[in-house]
Amino acid sequence: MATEVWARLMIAAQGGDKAAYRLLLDEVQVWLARYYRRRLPPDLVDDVVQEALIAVHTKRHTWDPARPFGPWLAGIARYKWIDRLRNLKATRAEELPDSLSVGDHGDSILSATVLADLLATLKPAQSDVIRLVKLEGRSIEEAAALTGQSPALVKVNIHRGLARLTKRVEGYANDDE
Amino acid sequence: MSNERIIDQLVSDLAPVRPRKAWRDALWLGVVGLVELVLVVATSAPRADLAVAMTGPMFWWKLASCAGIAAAGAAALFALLTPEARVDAGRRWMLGAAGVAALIGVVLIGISALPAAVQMTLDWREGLACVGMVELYALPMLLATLLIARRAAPSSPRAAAFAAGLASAGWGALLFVWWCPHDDPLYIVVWYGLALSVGAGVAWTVLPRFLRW
Repeated sequence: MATEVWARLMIAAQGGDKAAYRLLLDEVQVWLARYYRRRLPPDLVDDVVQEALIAVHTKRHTWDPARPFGPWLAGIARYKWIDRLRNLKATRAEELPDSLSVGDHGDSILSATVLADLLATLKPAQSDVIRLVKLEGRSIEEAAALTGQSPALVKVNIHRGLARLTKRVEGYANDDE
Repeated sequence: MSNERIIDQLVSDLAPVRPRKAWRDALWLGVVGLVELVLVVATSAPRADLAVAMTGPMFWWKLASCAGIAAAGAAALFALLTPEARVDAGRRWMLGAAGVAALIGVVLIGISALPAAVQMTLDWREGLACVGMVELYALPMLLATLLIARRAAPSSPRAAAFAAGLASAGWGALLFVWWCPHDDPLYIVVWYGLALSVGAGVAWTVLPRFLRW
């Protein structure tokens, strides 16, 4: 079991063993990349992997060898993922990365499927404008014209919809693993 | 910067660490509480009728409720300080404590409330002074819990902040019980409830930014 090996490596790393630590980080990096590729747009993955690696480093004293290593690592990965989702939510439409609406490989398809499921839980007025503005890259005015909502209402529905999505994602994150 | 470069830096920066243990944090909070207790006892005298008050049930209900809320807040905080913690674990402790204290209070109010005395028992000047003293007594413990939480890795900073606020306000109220001359259940539910809410609310609002990692 990989996490048992990682636990032994982490115990050595907590004692200052640099070789064990390098081995651990090399393996954890691969696991983290796989974790985030299923949850984030491809061009964000490396950034978040690095943030998570730094968090593993700065918080390595918070892992108690008496407890399993896997949930601890997954907790850090989840925390950094939710943190990034919050940042995405706070970002304005025109600043969102283009990759949210492109990409044709498996991970993107999986992300799009998850996103579609999440959007389906919102009110139509909210999911329509999020799809148009955030996913298709249309302007607020275009979305307003297409949906019959006023520009101000489009903004409000995007804000409320994203807030609700974030809450749901956090709920999924808590049930994850 | 590539992942490999980051890993190189982290490995070169590696130093031995001592794994965090909850009992050490609890011990630290105990020491802070003890020091504060000694300081408070040394600098002020408890309520004049303490001996008489201790013979009645209201004093002990007040004491037990505050102690229970402080303990539940601390338990919730400790449950929330690791990355793998789930918010539900802490929430159960806090809601349970608040629910039990409120229920006991409501029952006692029902038994002993006298309509004519309500205005007197809810003396707002005294009440606000009580709230202020509870918050003052809570401050050292709030700082201690903040230090502990910052060194840990709470997966939900806001929930951890709320638990820290509840624990420290509960502790502040527990200390203040020995000085507060009021034993009326309505007074206690209203003003102690407000003090606990303010302590937890301020922590919930202010502390999360210090707990992100």
